[in-house]
Amino acid sequence: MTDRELETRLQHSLSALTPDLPPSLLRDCASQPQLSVPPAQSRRRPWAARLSAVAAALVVLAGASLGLRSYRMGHTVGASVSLDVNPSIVLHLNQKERVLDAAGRNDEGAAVLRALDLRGSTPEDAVRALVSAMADAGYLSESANSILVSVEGKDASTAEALRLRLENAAAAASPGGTLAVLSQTVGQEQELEILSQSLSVTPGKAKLLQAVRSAHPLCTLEELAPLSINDLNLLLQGDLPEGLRSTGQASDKAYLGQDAAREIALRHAGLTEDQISRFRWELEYDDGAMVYEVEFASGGMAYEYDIDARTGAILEVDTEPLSGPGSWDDDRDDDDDERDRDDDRDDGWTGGQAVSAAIDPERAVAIALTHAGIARQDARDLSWERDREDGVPV
Amino acid sequence: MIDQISPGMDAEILDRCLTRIAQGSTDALAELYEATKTPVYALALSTLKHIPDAEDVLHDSYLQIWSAAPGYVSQGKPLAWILTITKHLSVQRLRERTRSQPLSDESWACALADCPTLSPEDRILLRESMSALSDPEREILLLHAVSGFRHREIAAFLSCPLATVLSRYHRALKKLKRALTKEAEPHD
Repeated sequence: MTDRELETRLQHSLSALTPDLPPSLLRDCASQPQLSVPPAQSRRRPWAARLSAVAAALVVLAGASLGLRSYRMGHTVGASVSLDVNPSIVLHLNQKERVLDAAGRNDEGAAVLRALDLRGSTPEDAVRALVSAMADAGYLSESANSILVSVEGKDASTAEALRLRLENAAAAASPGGTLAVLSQTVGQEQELEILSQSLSVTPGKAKLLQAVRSAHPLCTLEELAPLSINDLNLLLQGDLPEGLRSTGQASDKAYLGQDAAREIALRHAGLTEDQISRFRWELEYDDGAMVYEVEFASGGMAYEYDIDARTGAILEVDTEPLSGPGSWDDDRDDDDDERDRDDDRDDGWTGGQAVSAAIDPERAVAIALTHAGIARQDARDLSWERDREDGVPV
Repeated sequence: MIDQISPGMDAEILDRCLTRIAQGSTDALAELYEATKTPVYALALSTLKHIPDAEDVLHDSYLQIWSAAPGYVSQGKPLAWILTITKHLSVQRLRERTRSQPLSDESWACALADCPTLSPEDRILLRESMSALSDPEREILLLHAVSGFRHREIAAFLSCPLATVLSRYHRALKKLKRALTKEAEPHD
């Protein structure tokens, strides 16, 4: 069966399974109000009515203009600040930059706020109080020391200035100055708001999740959403997206650390430090656990280990002979595969030619990059692994 | 009445439908339903793996389209707009779901057996597409095969790198073919 035939069958099967229009849907729609959009032109009133309306409006405006401005400054949201550790909290600020209200975006955030009344305080004071409360409650500690501060405001330069002030306030409030502060400004984007609501996180954390997902494309946003800011910071491994600022170092004390992971792998392989080359490691999130991926070469063999970052358990081992000269050579760019990388529906790409014979990792990487249309120097966090699917090496 | 959606269908037709829906036409909603029900249902089913929940999301999607249509601003991608609503409702339903768990392979076979419009081959194909593929693989395959999205459009829709979409798509096809071949082999 060709790819196209399989797709057509799938379309046909799902079409057969999809219910026909239920009569109740149209009834439900008829009784459901539609979004009201302001009309392009307002209806005209008789001139006398319009004149009296204008006069009344002028009187009201004259009487209220002074008080209204002051009221608005104090009661209109001028900016929002979100703080995420694992407690997630949103502060709304008025135009005088005082806290209007504070709300938890998750249960932990609501619990932290229960004992605090932040209304009327400056955002710096609020951030200091929250850092202190979260440290007392054990959410910020030596082993999890990262906090994300996100500022959302209509005016970009004001938001940036506030971000900087709050970054400093958070860093200064940390116990012993050991906090790792990630900070950013967040635009008022509808897409980000929808995403944050569907993931039950703040828009700031939703933006961070998108950045982490870009670096770890095999993870879904839903999988990453429950992770603490410290874990997300560790997964970024210093590779910050544009607009995200970082001070301090994320703590990895909850995990073994790369040295211990390396030692575990070497012990398992029966090798010593001086027998290996091309050592590299990465922290990944895989199947609900933080995992060290450790790779090295020795005696013509390539080794790859997946090690549970918390327990040190070896989850997966792959050893393969290094084949041919130049394998694992990062400068190699002599791939001449001109396979069409267009994604049109008739591409018919199967990949069978590339993997039918045993190929070395570098060749696989070159094929992947060519197919993705990405230059070697533009690829980030490049790694590979050998696996088996139904007994077939891939 | 417009026909059911086919890959590459004219976005203008859907845009016109949405304009009429915004003006309160339930006939236009019925037309839109007929044209887009399969991609909407496929996406809900792919996410939820539960027939009654997917049917609820199908219903709620069109209810939300009805409500939101007056605010729809055409950017030439009406199906992506519709499927964003479906995806959002499906994820919400997934979070709320405490009583109804995803069906096991056996329950799938039973649920599909109850559907008289399906041929035995359809049942096998659907069962395997739900059990043999990972959630992201199935979602990408269905967006391509059923919704007619190009890989670049899928990458944009899922906020996912194109390379990831391509690799998952090809892997999904391979896995599904392998599962169907295994299914066709005589059993002892």
